[in-house]
Amino acid sequence: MSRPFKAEEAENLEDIEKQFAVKAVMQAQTYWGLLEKIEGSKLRLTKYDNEIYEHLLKDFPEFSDPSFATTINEDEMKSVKGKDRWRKFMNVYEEQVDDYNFGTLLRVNSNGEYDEANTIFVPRMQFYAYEIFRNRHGLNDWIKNNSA
Amino acid sequence: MSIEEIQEETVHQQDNGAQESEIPQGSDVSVVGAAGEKKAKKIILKLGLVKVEGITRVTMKRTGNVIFAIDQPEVYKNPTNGAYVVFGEAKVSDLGAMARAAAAQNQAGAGAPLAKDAGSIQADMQAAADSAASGAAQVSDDNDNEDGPVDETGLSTSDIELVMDQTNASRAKVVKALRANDNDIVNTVMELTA
Repeated sequence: MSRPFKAEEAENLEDIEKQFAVKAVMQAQTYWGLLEKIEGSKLRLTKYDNEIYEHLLKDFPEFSDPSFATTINEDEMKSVKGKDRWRKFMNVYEEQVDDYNFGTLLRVNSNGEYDEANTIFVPRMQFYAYEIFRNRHGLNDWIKNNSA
Repeated sequence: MSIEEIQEETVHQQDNGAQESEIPQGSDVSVVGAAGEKKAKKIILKLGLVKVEGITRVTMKRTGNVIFAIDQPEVYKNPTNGAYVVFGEAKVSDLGAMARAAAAQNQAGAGAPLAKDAGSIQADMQAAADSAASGAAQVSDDNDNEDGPVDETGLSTSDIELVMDQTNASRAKVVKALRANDNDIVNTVMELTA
């Protein structure tokens, strides 16, 4: 029988969660499709690419060595300290970027594809920050050259 | 049975709808099988769902201008959480495809009078007048047609062409989608291929 709604007892509706995953996977596939078509270094992702790039270098000086972006240290990124830094970075875009907080798939290593071991789940702004940086430094250009 | 399960029922119905959308526009589609419908109705009444009277049409809009419409639906409402269950035959209409078909027809109509007969001067002149007239028609058509010139201020040509290449959408559609997505390429491609 139907009963009053209690938030503590409510389960997540599996289908809704699936929808969320479907969108994240679609986003990853679309992005990959673009990288196969055009060198990452020529690809623009948002209106704010320059801003995001400069901001990233300012807030995360470790990116001054481009190879830092090749492999993500997930433990560090998702540590208490790392989360705090990233949250500060991301909240700047709350007003500008609609999906700034939307769950997005990101490759751990830019030399690999979106496979099980190489993919993590991050907020959209983190995806932009990493991928804009990787693109600018030609770290994704191999994808197009590989598929051609 | 719990509220979650009722909602499952609702979502399940939508899932069916999504699959059926592959069927060409205009064809009638029954979302729930008759036997399943009866069974589901029985369960729903047991759950204390209330029939909502006086609803003549339910429409659901999906991305890409695809619309499911159910005429004369049976609508039940869960009074505690506002979930609705809808029974009925859904008709799919793809407004985007209809607009494209109409545009193509306009084009074809404008092109036809161009055929001319060179048998006599008079016929030639007539033909010249015809083609001039159809030329004018062509121009006014272009204004209505979505392939006509569009305002691309603030957008980069390479972005537009990249998205067109990925989606096979018309230039005007791409321009519009790029604007709607604040120039975000990945989101734009997703919107146009969804």
